[in-house]
Amino acid sequence: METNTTRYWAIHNGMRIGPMSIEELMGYGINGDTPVWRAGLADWCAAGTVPELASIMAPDIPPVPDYPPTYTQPWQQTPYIPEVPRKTEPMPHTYLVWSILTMLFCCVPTGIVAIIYSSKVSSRFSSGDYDGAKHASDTAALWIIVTVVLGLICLPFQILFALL
Amino acid sequence: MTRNAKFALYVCGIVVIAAILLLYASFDPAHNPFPRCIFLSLSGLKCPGCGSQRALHAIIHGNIMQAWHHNAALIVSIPLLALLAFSGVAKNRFPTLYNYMNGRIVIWSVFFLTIGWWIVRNIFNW
Repeated sequence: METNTTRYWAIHNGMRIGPMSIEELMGYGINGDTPVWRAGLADWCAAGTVPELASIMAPDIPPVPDYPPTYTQPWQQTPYIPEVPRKTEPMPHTYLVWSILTMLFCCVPTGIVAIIYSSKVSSRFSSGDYDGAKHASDTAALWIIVTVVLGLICLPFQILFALL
Repeated sequence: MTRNAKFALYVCGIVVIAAILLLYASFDPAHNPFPRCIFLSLSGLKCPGCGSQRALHAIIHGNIMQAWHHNAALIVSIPLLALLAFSGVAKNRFPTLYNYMNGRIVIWSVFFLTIGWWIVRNIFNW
């Protein structure tokens, strides 16, 4: 076949290489911009413009860069767990609405304690103490539940007081 | 929480709220055996929430002045609670509002106003 006998020359790393077969030429890892020459061409041509070379060269593979490549997501054995919580972590619930509601309707002043913990949620969260904020949030919820339960326990006595 | 559980919770919440509103609309706590504040019964002093039930009855019947007379803190709380609830629902759309409403300034204001209201209403018998 004619393609097997055609000899190619190329300018690779500033040096003229050749003569070689098309397979050997590809073995040098040339890209579309590498100057090549074969019999029948007037001068050096970019390899990408020579029809028989362009058809076998993968056009999408990027050339080896001069700098070490940077990877956005390096592969690692274990999933990446940040040491510090991200700034975008949502603030835990303050349960302020429920604190106010239980204070107005349960007649048990323990709702005040829930408000104190509500304020700790935001102050700890703004100082970056996410775990402390979460703990204060859970404690606030606990005190709201305590207030509601105390209110329900007192309910029969409250009605009794109203009947007296 | 799954979508269905959330929906069920909302339906339960609406039913409970509707039942409470109907109860307080039908009966006046001033003349019926509604729960009476234990703190008031034992100490003779009003708690911050005293008068809330009578105030709720008055509000449902459109009598804001009478509600204000029973418990002024409840009237003041309604817009605050509405804004707080809105900031919670629209947390993602208005994060600044949510952070402000759940921030130190608002919470400590609620705390000190409540304590202040507790003291002042017993001095002036509000």
